[in-house]
Amino acid sequence: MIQLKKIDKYYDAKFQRTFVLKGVNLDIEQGEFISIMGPSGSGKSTLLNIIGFLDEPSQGEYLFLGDPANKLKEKQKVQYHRSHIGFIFQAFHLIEELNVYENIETPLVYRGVKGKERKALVADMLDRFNIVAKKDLFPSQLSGGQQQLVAIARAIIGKPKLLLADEPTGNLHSEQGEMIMKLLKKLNDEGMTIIQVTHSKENAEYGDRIITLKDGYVREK
Amino acid sequence: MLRFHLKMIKRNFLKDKKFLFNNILGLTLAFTAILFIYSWITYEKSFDKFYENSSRIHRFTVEFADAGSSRHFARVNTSWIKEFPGFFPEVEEMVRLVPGRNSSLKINNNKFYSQGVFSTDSNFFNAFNVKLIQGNANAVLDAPKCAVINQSIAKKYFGNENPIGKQIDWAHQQVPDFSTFTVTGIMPDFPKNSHFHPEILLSLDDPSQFAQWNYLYLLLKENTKPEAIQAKFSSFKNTYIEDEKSRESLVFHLQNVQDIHLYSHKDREIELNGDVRSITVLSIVAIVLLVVITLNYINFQIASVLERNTYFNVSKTFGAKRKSFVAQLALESVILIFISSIVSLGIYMLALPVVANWLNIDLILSTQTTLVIYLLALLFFVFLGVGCSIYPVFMSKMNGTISSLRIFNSGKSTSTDFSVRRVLVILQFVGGIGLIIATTVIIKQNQYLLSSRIGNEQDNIINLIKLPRKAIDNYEILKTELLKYPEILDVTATMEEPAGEVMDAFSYELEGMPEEDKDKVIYVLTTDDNFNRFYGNEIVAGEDFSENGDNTTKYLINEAGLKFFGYTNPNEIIGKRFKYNIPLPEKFFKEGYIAGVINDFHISTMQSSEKPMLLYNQPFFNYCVGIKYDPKRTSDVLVTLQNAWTKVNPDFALQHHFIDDLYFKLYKNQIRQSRFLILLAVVVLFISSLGLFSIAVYGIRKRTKEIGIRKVNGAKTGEVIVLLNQTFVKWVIISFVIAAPIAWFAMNKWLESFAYKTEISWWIFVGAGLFIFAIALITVSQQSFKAARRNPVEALRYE
Ligand SMILES: Nc1ncnc2c1ncn2[C@@H]1O[C@H](COP(=O)(O)OP(=O)(O)OP(=O)(O)O)[C@@H](O)[C@H]1O
Ligand SMILES: [Mg+2]
Repeated sequence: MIQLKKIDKYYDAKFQRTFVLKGVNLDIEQGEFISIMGPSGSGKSTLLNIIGFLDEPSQGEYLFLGDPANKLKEKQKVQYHRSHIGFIFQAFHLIEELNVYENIETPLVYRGVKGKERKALVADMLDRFNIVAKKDLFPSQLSGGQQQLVAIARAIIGKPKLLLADEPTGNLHSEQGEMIMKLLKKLNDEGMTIIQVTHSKENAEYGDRIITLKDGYVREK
Repeated sequence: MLRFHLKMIKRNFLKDKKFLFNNILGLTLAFTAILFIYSWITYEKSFDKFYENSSRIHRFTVEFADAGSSRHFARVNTSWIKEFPGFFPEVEEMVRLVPGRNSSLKINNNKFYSQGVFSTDSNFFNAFNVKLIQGNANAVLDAPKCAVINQSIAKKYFGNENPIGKQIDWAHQQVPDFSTFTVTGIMPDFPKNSHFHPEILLSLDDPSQFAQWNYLYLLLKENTKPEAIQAKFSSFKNTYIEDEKSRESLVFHLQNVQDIHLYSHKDREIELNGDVRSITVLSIVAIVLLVVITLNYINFQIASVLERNTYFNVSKTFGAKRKSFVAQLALESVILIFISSIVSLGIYMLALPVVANWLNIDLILSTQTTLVIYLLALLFFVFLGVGCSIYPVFMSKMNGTISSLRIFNSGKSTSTDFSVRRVLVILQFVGGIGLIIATTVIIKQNQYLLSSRIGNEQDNIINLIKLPRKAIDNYEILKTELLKYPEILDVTATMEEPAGEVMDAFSYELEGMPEEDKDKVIYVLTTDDNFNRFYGNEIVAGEDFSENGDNTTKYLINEAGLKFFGYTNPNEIIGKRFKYNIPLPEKFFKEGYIAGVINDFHISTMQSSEKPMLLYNQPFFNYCVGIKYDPKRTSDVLVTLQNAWTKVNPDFALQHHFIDDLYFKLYKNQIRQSRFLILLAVVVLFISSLGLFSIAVYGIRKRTKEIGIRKVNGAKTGEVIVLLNQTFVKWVIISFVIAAPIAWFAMNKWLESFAYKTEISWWIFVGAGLFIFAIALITVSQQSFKAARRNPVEALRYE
């Protein structure tokens, strides 16, 4: 599904070039559950962003479903975002103007899902994450963990084929974290390809493979 | 999807109610102001366009380009004009309008004066295409002693009676005895936007007589250009003007009737005309206003898009298209504009009567024009709104999508957007400061014009102006009668009233004058012997008229005249022999000598410099009486005046003018303009402040976290306020530095067109600067105080 070949990512400052990713090669098959680990600043989020078409590599080739990403038309990317890819951001990125219910609903709106069906799906999510009571609150009125739950619900409600999860359980109580990991595992079993970034060894074990990033290089175990 | 967009727009509006309100308020005020400016300009440009034949009606005027002086009268008094229709086949109709300067009238035992009485040719109504309410337009003025009155006069003096066949009595300066006219027709009142407003039109006693002063209108045949006639002017002169010298000194002019109001500033215009400069000034204000509101809108829009950055970027990860954001922002703009338009239209309608009355004009815009303005505004602001929304939306494309997500959150590269917006606010303030300075200078100049009068004694004076011949002859009797009363302090008389124009100039002989000056003319103003004392004029050299001796050989000259004669030392001219070459019997202006020099007092408008003139004590031409009264007994004065007048001049109505009113009338256009400008300056300033307010709120909001952290680390509220205000204060100073020289330059340019100018004082600049500074400080401090007082926990929550 995903093939990264000699991917470089660097930022040019005035006099020097800082590499974030260096010669990254990675093959991910449909249905895999990958865990990415590595110290802060090692480029984990950057890698996820490249995979999710939110950022572009400086060098190297990225094939998504066999097509080179840099040749993809804007329209095609939009289509992938609508139907294939779901994000859980490290910084949540909930929409301030929308309440919990509406935040979760938004991807479905862009997908063109009918109102009735949306209602059922969102209700199901609220129920599953135990946040029915919070559905009318706005992000600024939620705790950090609650925001994360909403962000997760929003990412998986559309049943994307590829879920990119950047520290999905970072702000959660361990029991809740376990619940989320089990949920992700279940979704993976149902066929969803998942790439997660985590700092926890325990959570990383849920994946089929663990990839470690260090100073921009990939080391696979 | 539309529902979703609408929901987002609503949320966004509700989230920032303050901004929504500010934005709508700013747009509304700007729209309203622009509607008013546009109405004003439309009105000023609409003069004399209502005749079907406007483009074919031209006024003929003659410029007297004598050696050294040039006078251009709006009216003519030469008899060769009677040859026009024969000489120029292009002329379809020729109409004379002979003004009955301040006519005295008697209708049904009512005595009154009117400035709107003219004797005219019988083809007046045809040439100007005026439809009569009663009477046959082709015949009403055919016979001598016929009168056509307008509707107001008919209503006021005849009530429900039918005026046709009724009689009116008329007299004026040149026609001392009342003669009787029969009403043969009723015409409509002329609209406000006409350059003249006849109330009564009389038939000429003898239309074949052409020697009277008259305004001469030529209706050209269809498809005839005025140039066709202008080309033949010189051959006309060669044919009908024998004297070669006068042929050379006469310059003929044709002026389309539609150009009179804005472009004609000749001597003895029928009425006070407008000035195209006022349109220029207002257009500049409109542009400043438009720029300020546009900057404001851009600023608001950018800030509001940046605020919603997460929403836009996250939505993109769900597959939202950029197009749909643009659509949403456009929709948002349309809604905003729509609300503002409706509100401003409402305000315009409600305020129209008040403003129109205050400015003394008709400000009616057609529905069509209003619609066009709104459509243009809609297009303009939607484009603008979308334009400044696209900028941040598309910026993310160039940087790669996610970077915009992090950039905006890190608050680092927002500084570039912040600087764009900073420039916008600074420009707004440049406009605001510039306008304050300009408005202050204009007001100061107008105040200056208004406050400068004849001499220094200018209060508590009543003037009786343009009196009928008989009343002039009775002047000494009236004066004696009035002075019997203690509340009357002094009485004088002059040829022209204060704020009037001195118009009569003749050639002269002055002892020792150079030969080449013999065709030059100098103005004359006849006065009573106490004129200079009465108005407080200064005697610079020599002596004043004597109040109980013989003045018949004494001429007084003003300083402009001194210069005109080529003298610098006023003492040198005293005693020089002087004689006017006036085509009048010798008894009116005797040969005499220059007895004194007086300062340049301002009798006429200060927009032009004082004319060189001589004062001569000849009561025959003293058409205007000045009465100085005791201000503590104002109410007695009017009763006394009425009684004395009726006793001396029982045949004529008394019409009195306070001197202030005369000058107000003279400067009525300037006063209107100042008033309008003050109003507009306030609007611009207010909008600029709204802009500053918005950017202050956004800017401070962006620094919420910083403030929180500083406070956690021990910063005091006062320190935080100073920190936050610093930036904004800097902006105001920069704006001032930019605006002040521009305004100074522009106002110097504007003042150039006045003969007498006020000073552009330093305090105007300091005042404008401090004023804006205060506004900025109040606007910003209020926000920074709130921010600084906030509990840091709130600011740092989950960041
Ligand atoms: N716009 C940018 N300009 C310069 N450097 C950048 C930019 N964006 C990211 N970086 C750098 O790239 C490196 C990788 O960042 P990234 O967010 O991928 O790290 P990470 O592995 O996700 O770290 P963490 O575990 O803390 O989330 C960091 O050192 C960061 O400073
Ligand atoms: Mg990260």
